[in-house]
Amino acid sequence: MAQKKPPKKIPQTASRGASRARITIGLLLLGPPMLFFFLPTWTFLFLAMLPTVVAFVVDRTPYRYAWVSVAGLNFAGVAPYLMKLWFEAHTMNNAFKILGNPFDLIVMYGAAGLGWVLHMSLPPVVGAWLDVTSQRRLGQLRDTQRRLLSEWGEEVARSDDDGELAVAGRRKR
Amino acid sequence: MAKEPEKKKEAAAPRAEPVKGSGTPIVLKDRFQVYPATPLYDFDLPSATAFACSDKRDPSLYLLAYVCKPELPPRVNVLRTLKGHTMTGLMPLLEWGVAEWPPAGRQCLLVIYQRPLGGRVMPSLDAEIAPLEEHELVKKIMPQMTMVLKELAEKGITHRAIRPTNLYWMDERGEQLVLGDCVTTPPAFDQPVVFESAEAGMCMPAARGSGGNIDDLYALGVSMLMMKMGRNPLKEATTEQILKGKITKGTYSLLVGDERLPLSMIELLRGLLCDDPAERWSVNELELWANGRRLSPLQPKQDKRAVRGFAFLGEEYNTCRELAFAMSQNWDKAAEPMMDGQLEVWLRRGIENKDLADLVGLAIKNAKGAPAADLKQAEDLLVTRILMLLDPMAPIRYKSFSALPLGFGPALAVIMGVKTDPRLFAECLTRDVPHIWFETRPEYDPTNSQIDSMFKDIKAFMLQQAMGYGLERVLYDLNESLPCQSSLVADSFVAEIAELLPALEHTAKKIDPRTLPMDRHIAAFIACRFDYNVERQVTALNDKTAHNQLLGMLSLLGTVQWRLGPESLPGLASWIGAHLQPVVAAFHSRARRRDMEKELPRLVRSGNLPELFAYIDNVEEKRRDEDGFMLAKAEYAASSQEASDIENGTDRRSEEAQRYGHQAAGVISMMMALTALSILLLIRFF
Repeated sequence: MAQKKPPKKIPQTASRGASRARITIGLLLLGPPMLFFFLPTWTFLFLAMLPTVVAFVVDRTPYRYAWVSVAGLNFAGVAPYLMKLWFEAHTMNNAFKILGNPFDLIVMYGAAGLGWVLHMSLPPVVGAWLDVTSQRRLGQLRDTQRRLLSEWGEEVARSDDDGELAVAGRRKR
Repeated sequence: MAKEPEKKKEAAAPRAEPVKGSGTPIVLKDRFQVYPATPLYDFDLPSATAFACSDKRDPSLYLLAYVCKPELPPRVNVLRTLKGHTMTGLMPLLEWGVAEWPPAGRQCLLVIYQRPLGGRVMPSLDAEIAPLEEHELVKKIMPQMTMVLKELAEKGITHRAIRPTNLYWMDERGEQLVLGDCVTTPPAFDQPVVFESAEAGMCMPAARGSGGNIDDLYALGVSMLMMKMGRNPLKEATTEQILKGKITKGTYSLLVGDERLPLSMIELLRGLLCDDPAERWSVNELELWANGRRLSPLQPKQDKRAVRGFAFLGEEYNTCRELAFAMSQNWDKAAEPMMDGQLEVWLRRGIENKDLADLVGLAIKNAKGAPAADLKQAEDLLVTRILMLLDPMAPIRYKSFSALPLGFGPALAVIMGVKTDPRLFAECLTRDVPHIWFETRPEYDPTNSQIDSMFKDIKAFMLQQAMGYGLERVLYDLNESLPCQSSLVADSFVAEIAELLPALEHTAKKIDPRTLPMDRHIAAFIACRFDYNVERQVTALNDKTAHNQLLGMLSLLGTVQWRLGPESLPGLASWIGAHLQPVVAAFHSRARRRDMEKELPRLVRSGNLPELFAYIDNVEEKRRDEDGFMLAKAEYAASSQEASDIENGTDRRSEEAQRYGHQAAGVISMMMALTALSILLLIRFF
């Protein structure tokens, strides 16, 4: 009987390249029709969510969480108008009409502002909470140490390195 | 050499009425009353003082008590054998024991004898007495002495203190002659050199060993001669002169000189004073003579004389023995003529002893081959070896130390008793000097091999400096009945291991509790005399840590109590208890320490050392304590690390707060968006 040949290993890079090609082809096929049919939505969302884009650009922290906070509330402010756009008339005119209303803009951008406020105000709160829990833990640790000292004496606090150093010191003297 | 006390010169003649004791007596064994206020100068010995004594059971008896010097080891084995034995010709030893002796302010060994009523034969060796008649010596005294020496020989005992100043008339009419005390000092310790053969005379007084019956016969011969002459013929001579005379002329010629003696006495004295131990009369030959056998007197053998003398320090010596003696007296000068080969040449050409010359030559060659740093030591050993080759009968001589092999024990006992420097003794053992002596014996003797191997064991003990070994261990190994010399039990005369703990219990009542109830002597005494293996305890006793040393001490004493009793030793337990703080402190757990501090007083009161030890050295508790401590240490270290992290982590915490805060804001924001979207969709569709 002929020996079974081991299955040929397909190089991972080739596999990734193939999937990437499939996605690209998909986007090229579906992208233009999607852009065309949903153009009022895309335009409306782009202009209404500008604070989020700005937040993404101006956030220089390593984790760049600001845009997430802004985006959430920004979208919460945009959502009623998006419903209006979708369920009343999904046209470019209607989109610009909503965006042209200052009150609507204040609601959408104001919600984004609240996102900024949330982003700025939560770290001090978390810091305070961390401080409190740390101090409580420190207290527990000190209690444990006091209990160990009273039960085992000062030598329990002496590490082996300390002992060796002390012996070496005595020898030196 | 010890001399008889001067006081007895005044009291040479026996008193008309024997002295009865007066004053407050010291009672020994609830029976014998010893009167410290009534000394009996007539009976004093160089190393023991005599006092009046009476027997409660029979007050009509005249007794005397010898109070021994504490620093001298008594002959306990002989004491045990002679106690209660009545031997014709020996002062009856009735009792012995230890009692508090007020004049010394401590306990002393007292030996009770029946008091001879006829007084001492010769008040001192310088005194002159009426010479005894030949028939009195031959018909009356010699049979008595023969009988007693025979009986002693049968018991395996040597007297080693036969001299006219230690011979007494037991009765007032002078019919019965008795030998005096022989137990209060080491063998032959008080014997003037004239009563000792040349080889024993060359030894240090304490190092003569118990010897043999021929040594007693030799001393008897000298004593008989003095009694016949009524004086000491060598009273003006120094020890060195006497020894030199014995070596050069022979004992008989030296002592008798020009004195005219009856033929029977000549035969007796020639036999008893023969310088060759192999030819000297034995007890049997003396008995035959006493029963009337007469032979021609022994003729002295002369050492081989050199055709030309050997010049040493301005004097000429013609025999090897003479030269060896002279060199031993001038140790520092002896090596030079050996090393430059003069001695070998003299032995080859003058003495004409090729074999001896070869042996000496070989010894010199070996000494010359020694490294320069060891040259002095090699020279000392060379002198030792060559002196042994020149005079094989001489004792072991090393610098100023000289002893017969069986005299090493008593010698060390006296050295340590009088607290002189034992360095020479130790040097002698560590340099294997006794082995050289055995190597140089002209004839093989199986006993020598046994003694040689004993010296090897002893050397091994001495080289270990730890407690339970060293010189103290050697002391008790060489003196099997020597009482414990520890200052802690010095006033209790502890000769048996079973007496040790009661003695320590007695000491505990009056000693400063800061002193430890253990010292080198006690450790060595137990290690040597205790029949059980205490190696482990002795090892613990020498541990580096104080608490292990204390545990070793408690374990050692506890083992003795467990095996030999007594059941309760509250004083000793309390004494030990005062030192147990480091042992308690060795436990890490404070709770365990508190428990122990509560429990120890109860155990101490019970006086049971094994129980006390078992409680303190509880292995399970120790392990639990150690494990608990390790865990506690790890827990402390971990908590310290965490606390330190918290204290030093402000920046990190603020960074974390920032990050977590932003994440939380993001999550909240997204949730609000989803909620808003959901509500709007719900409103729209429903």
